[in-house]
Amino acid sequence: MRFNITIRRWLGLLFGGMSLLVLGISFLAWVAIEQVSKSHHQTVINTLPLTLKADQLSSSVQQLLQKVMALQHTKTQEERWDRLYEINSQELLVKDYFEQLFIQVPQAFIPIRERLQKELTELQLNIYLVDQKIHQQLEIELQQRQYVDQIQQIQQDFLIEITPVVNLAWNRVNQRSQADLRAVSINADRLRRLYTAISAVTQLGQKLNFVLLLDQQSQLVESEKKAGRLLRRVQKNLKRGGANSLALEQALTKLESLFTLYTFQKQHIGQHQEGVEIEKKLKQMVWKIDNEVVQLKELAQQQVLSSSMETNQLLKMTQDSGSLFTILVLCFALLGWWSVRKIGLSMQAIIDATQKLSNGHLSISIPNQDKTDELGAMANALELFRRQALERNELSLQLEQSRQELEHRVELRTLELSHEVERHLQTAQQLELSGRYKSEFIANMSHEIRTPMNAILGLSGLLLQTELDQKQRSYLESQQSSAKTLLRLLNDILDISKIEAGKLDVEEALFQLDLLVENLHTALYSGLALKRGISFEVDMDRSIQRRVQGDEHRLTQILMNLCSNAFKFTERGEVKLSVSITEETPEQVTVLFAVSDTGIGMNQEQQQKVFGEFVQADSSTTRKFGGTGLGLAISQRLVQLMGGEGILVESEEGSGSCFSFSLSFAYSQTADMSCDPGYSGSEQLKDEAGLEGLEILVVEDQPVNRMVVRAVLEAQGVKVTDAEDGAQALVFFPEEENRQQVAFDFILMDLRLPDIDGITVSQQILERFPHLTTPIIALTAESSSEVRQQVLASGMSEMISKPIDPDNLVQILRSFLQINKAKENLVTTTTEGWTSPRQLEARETEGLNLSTIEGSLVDRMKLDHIDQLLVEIEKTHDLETILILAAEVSYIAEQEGNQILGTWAKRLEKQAEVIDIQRVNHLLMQLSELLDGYR
Amino acid sequence: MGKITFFISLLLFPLLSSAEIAHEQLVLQLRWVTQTQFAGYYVALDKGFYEKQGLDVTILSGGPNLSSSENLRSGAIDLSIEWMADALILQQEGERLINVAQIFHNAGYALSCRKDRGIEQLSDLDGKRIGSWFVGDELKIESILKKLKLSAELYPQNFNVNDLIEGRADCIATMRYNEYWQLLAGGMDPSELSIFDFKEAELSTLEDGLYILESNLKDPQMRNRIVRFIAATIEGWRYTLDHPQEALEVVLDNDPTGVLDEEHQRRMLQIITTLLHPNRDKIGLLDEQRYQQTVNLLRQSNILKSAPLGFYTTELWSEAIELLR
Repeated sequence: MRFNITIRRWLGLLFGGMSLLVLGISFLAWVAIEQVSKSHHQTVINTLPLTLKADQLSSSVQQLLQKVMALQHTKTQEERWDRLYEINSQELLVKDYFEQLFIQVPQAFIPIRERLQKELTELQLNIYLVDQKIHQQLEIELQQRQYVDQIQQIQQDFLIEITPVVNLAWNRVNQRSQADLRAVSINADRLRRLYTAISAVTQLGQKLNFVLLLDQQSQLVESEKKAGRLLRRVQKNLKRGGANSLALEQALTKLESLFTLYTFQKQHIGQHQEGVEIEKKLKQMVWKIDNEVVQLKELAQQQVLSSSMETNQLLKMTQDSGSLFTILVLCFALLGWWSVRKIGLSMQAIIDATQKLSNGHLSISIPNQDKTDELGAMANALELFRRQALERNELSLQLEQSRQELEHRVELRTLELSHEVERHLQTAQQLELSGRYKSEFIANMSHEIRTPMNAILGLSGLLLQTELDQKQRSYLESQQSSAKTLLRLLNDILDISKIEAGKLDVEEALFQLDLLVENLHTALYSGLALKRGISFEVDMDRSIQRRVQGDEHRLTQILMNLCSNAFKFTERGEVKLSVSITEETPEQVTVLFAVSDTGIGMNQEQQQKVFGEFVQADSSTTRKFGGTGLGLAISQRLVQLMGGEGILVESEEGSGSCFSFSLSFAYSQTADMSCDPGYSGSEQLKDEAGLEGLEILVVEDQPVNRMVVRAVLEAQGVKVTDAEDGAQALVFFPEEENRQQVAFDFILMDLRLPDIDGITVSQQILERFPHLTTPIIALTAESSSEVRQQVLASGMSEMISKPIDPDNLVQILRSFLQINKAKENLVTTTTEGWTSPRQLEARETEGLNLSTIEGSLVDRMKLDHIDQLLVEIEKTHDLETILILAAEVSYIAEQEGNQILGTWAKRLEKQAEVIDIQRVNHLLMQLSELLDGYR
Repeated sequence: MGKITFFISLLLFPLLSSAEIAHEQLVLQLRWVTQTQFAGYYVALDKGFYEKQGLDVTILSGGPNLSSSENLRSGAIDLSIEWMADALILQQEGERLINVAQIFHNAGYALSCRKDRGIEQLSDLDGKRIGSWFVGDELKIESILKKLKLSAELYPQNFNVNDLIEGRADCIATMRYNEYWQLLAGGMDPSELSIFDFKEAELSTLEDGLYILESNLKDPQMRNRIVRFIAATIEGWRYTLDHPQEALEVVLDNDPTGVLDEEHQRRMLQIITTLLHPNRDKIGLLDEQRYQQTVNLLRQSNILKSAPLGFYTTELWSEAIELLR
């Protein structure tokens, strides 16, 4: 008997313990999620200001450099003091930024901090040296000016002294002219020599006056030599002219002493050159500091990245364990329910028997006598009672007592069990909470996931276009299809999580319903139908031609889902999409959409389950047909969100299914465009325009995305120009030139840019070029209708969501060209017709002869030289060389009339001057492409 | 003002005259403007070689319109530099000039002709238009033309070389140390020019020599001064050979105009040093054979009617050399 009681306790303990364990682990998981997301949040919070502060530091160092450069051009000591004051306060600012930057940074940043510290100290030292040079220069200049002031005085003294001598010689020439001809000759010669001396003194004065204007050593040497010769001329001619006065000699000595001007000027030039050297050095140092800052920023980015990866892993772990625990909880609940039920049933049998016994039916058999637990014991006791009642009725009192005791025990046990069930329910609630964290997290991470997805899809697509062997191709194709599946999955999960979070909105915009259906038919499914050998028919009410208001994108999504499901589950026969009007008023129209197939169909039970989340008609379909099982659930919710009642399904196992739903759309109240032949009919759309020769500007900050887009476009023969932020993009649209057109046929604009967001950039472009007809197409990972409205309102023409599907991108670009072409063909008077400027140009130059093209070839030697410069720059990062490169490219640009190249050169020069190393490097990378056309 | 000036002049007078008293005066008239053609004389003046010989020498620069023979006769100058052909003619005309030292042993005079006018050798001069300075050089050309029995048009050229550069003449008179360089500076290439210096044809005449009035030879004091002058001049030329750069500087220092082109003067000096006697001990010594050649040329062309007598003396030169030892 004791043994049996212990089992029951063990069972109770096991239930209680396990429930506690599950509860505890769920709590721990919740805490872990909280903790991890907190720490990730902290890392992001810590690192973002770091980048900002790093930029502040680098720009304050730039300003410091500019102030030092201004110091170099100081003309007076007062000015020098002013500049020094400015420099000092700038230095303090730099120091301040530096200290702020490194408050509370992780260990990884310490080496950068030390290097930066060292470089900043060196910078300060060099600024001190610059100031010393300036100080000395100013002193020299002061002395020089004093010397120059003396020149005139000395010349005057000289003239006063020499005048009597000249007069005397003149008198002697006159007096003796008759008597002694030889003396006349001699005195005439002396007079001439005196005049020579005077003119030489004048010349010497001029020479000395000009010394300060000479700024090259060679000029100085030449001038000093000439001044020396002039001085000798003065001396010799004075001597030969017979003027030997002391005063004249003194004047000459003074003049000679002014020759120190040359020494000073040489020093001055030397100082100046040293100053220039130091300035160069300073620039190099600022360059270095900038490099450190760039490294710092990169490091910060890495930190954020690794933190988010950690978070990701942890969350995944928690998620996995979460589902494990859910299963465990379910198991325990089942086990609990089963034991309660079992005890209850057995009890009922015993109670029935007991009632019968109490009513005097002593002949019945007592159940559960064979059991070894309490129930068995009770049954045995009852049996004993029955036997005793049969034999001795006086034992009835005892029996009544033991029955009462038993009832009490059962009551207690039942209470215990109901407590346990309640606890299990609580655990389930906790788990739901963690599930909500999960969907929020997924929604947040979507952007991060889409970016690498973009790269995987884009790059594998590109790789497929290269030459591959059979094996590589098949690997790659399965990689790509897996990635596509992954993306579809991701989109579905995102949609569901958005629906769950109540964040999914539908858009209200005008669209052409018939065009939508037509596109669906032509662009997407005729291909799939052909591939699978199933006929696909569209039966559309032709009266649907007016524009309606609604969410075109979501409607497409629903129809696509239904149709693709139909294809998926149909092995032969046909898939049919019918669109018909069921009700129409002047204000609105109700349309019935139905997708029917001749596929495997569903039974009644499956039809009920099919709209559940994560459910397919039969779990085996997942293995056979793939998919998340979310599509119908999403479609159902979308239809409801759009005001429909839901999707109806009619199906019979083995003979196909029909999914149908009704939606009402308001009619457009503005002028109806349906009669515009440019928009209707698919003939124009089928006539595909080539993209070859177009020029497209891609504004995108992610290098991988840039690479993908570039590669996709270049594969179509498009010339791609990059810009990695708004500022760079705006360079191509200079404000001052009020032209009507730009060199690009399309602009692809990422919405999330590091400086100005893409919408603002587009608005600015359109402000600068109000009549710009080049379409601006937004690229974004956020595909909500709100964003779409913003995009279209800003004047952009279209939106493409990331990850970018190469075919989709090309298709959209083509459709712009076709619309234009169609308009061109049909609407001759239109002024809004959009024509690619490049195509126009091509048309204009069609008749040109070959000689013009030959004339535009750039000199081979010049290109070689540019290559040399590039190699040198890569090695030395020398600023001067970069400027030389800029000048050479600018020359080529001017010769060739290549504005892009010209702008490039200007930008390079500008960025090199302000030592923006990142941009310089970026620009340098672009060069070879820019020059490709000339090679 | 005038009085004060006069007063100061009186005060300065003793100062000025003291230099005159200490040395014996001599005045040399150059044949042309100051240039490195006359480097030796300026070096002797500048380096104090004349002073060392107790002489106070004044060098007057010459020019196109100076008649040195007249100045010699009037006593305004004591020595002049002449080309021998000129001097011989002056003597024939009655001037009593005498060559006391022949500084240039070789001739610098040359006819520069355009090759594109078909002039490769002297015989090609027939019928051509030839420029001359008509400062005696025309005699040389005439003698050569007579000797080779050619006829050509002689015309008075300017003192620049544009006639040849611009093609108005087929030949012009040039000094190899001066106008030749101007032609090159004016854009002509040496390969475009035929240069006839008449040396191979043994038709060259002696150029720069030192001449005095015969009467001065008879004055022993004056004769002695001239000997000392020759000695200092030889020393000046020797110094020039040893220190061409310094000599160049000296000439530039003493140029009254101050506009001489240094490079041109340097080239000139290079040629000038080749015109001196190759044996530095014989600088200034007149070569009997070359004298005869000059005379013969002038006589053949009938410019000189008879052989001159007592036209030169090497005695003073020998005494000067003695002084230098």
